[in-house]
Amino acid sequence: MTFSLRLALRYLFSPNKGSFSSTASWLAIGGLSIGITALMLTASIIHGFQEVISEKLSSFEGQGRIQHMLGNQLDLSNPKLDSLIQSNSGSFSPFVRGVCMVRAGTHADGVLIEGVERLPKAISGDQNKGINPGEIVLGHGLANELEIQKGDKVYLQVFSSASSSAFSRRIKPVVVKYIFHSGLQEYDKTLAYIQLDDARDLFGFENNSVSGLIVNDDISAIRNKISYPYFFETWRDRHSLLFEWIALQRWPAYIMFGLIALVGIVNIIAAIAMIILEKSGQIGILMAQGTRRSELKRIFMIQGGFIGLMGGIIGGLFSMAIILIQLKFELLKIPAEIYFMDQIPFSFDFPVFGLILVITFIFCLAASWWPTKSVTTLNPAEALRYE
Amino acid sequence: MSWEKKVSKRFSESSRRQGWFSGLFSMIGMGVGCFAMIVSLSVMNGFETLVHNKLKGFEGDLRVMGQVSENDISELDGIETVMPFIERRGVIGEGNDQRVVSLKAVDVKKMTIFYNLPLRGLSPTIGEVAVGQDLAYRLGKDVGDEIMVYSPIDQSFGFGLPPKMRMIISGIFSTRVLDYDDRFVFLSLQDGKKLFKRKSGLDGIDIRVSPHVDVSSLRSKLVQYFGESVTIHSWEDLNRSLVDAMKMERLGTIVILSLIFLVAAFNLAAALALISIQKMKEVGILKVMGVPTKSIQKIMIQMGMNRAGKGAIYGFALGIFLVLLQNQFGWIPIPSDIYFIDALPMVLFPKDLFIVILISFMFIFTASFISGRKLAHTKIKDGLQWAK
Repeated sequence: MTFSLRLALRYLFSPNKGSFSSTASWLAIGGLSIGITALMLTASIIHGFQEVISEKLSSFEGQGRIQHMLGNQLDLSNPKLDSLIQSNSGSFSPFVRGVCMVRAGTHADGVLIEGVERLPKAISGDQNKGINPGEIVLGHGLANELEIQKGDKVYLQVFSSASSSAFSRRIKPVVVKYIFHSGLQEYDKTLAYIQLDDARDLFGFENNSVSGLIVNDDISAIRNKISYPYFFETWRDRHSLLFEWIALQRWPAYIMFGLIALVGIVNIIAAIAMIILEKSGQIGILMAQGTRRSELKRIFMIQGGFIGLMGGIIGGLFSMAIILIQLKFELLKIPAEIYFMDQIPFSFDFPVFGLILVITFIFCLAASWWPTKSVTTLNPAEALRYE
Repeated sequence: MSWEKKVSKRFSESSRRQGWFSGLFSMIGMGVGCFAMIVSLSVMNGFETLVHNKLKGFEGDLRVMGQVSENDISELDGIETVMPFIERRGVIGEGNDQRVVSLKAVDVKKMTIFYNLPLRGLSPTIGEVAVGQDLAYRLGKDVGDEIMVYSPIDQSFGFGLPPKMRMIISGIFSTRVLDYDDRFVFLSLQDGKKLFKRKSGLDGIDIRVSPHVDVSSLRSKLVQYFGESVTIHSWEDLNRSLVDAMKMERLGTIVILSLIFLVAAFNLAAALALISIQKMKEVGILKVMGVPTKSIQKIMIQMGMNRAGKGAIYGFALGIFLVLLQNQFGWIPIPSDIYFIDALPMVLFPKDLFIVILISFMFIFTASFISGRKLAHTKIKDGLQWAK
């Protein structure tokens, strides 16, 4: 083993400048590391995309929500709900939800109103800030559309009532307290928060009724306790189509970037084959001196393995550097209206990174094993004839 | 055939016996690169064309906003049809089940000519509306059902009710592009004028340009004609971020797939390096006979082109072949509930073919140039020193 290793290292770090075998190896290492970088960044973006979306959705919607099966109002004094709330106090917060029109001057738009006691984490940061009566918090997409700013007065207008003939019009003036910027277009353009009692008033809810309960933590314990006519839905259930779409997008991306790595691996085959070709004279001499063929083969396998290892290390470090730079400085921006977020979402997906490295390393060993077969058919006399 | 070509052929032929596979591998790399690039660009083009057509079908080619009348425009050359419209945020629904939508009042007689809407049912007449399928689904309504349409913006503050009308759904359209199926409701101009009390006159006119007329030249003609009193948008302006995103994705794909070429170029460089080592002696002899450095360089580039260029052409041809097959038979399916069609769309533009060829040959040229430079600049003494 040490003999093969020494020769392999000699071939790689040849002291004479411009040696073919070291040039070819380093070119192969370069190619492979580009391929590995591409694959790792792909994995990182896919993971990051999922992570960003999950994080944003859950911070806006809580871990899950309890609602009535038919979309009716929930009566909080109902014994079934009451006992649930008592037993898990602190992990529920009620909300009232409804659609209404928001007007500012001649501009108007539809908006999904959520009446809450405390603003979601996505908006207020960690300190669960409350919201005062007569105030509204809305997304910057909506604010742009209505051309309003913090401190402006807007009018919420609801036109629904039990019977459409008695068209009761309810108009509520509110002051814009804060404009949030989630990066998720769906929220920035359609969602607004007001105080819970304001919302009850606006949508005509009784004092003890709500649209549902937001569950903030520990879903598993609650999930089983909920029965008809209530149902529990996590944010992941709600947006399952989105996650399906991400899962579907994943494969074409992996195939495309896998091709780069594939060409890199083809490079290794070619490099080892060419090195064997170039070294056939020396192989002939070694053979004539009685070196076993298996040992000779091992030299080149080690070389292939080294290429794989270096390619993995360089590619890995390079992609880590890119990810870190992007996370720190946010250089790569994307249009938020199309992609849900405003910058390319990198994140570290270590299991997949490890898998990529292991698989490429195995492929590298296989790729270097194949051309070494020619060593077994090499005839020392032939090889040395022209030396 | 120039002599350089002949020598390059000799060089590769003599090493074919042992080194044919190194050439083969350079071919594979470039071929895979070309193939991947052709296929992915054509898929992107396919989706892009699809979306463009849908958007254009929905919005026309140009939109003139301002105080204009229909007759002013339709006389101009190069205009196929025009569609006057009034657009307003409004509410549609029944009882508690209401949605905020964009009410678009248009000249309903021309609807089928102007819009390219896949419509179930009929286009609306007076007292009728056409809604998108998502909206209809959310409201639980179908063709023939009655529905209330409100325009709360036109309600004067303090007293009065918002203008409202009971209308019948005459048709349901499904564009399946952006959120249009959830957002738009078409109604007749006459009804629109009744509903939108606080609005006077048209919002603007959508224009569909006759085929084979240049949109941008027509646009400048319109600007001249109307001056500053109107604003003119193309459908690209109206969907700027989508158009930009698609352009960006395309650039990203080209850059990233060029990495395949880069990796393949590494391979080519290694293969040529092997040949230069093997042919050192021959090059020394050639130089003794007075061959200039430039010619040696040319020989190396010729060899690179022969090997990798062939691969590029094969990959290129295979890619085009696949695109043609898919267009003919539609073998590659995609889930139609997520995308809006069931076979993968592939479209190739001559521009893309040119780009792919250009990029691949640029890489081949650079790789052969760099790896050939050392050989070309070999000193005669060094070349012949190792001659055996």
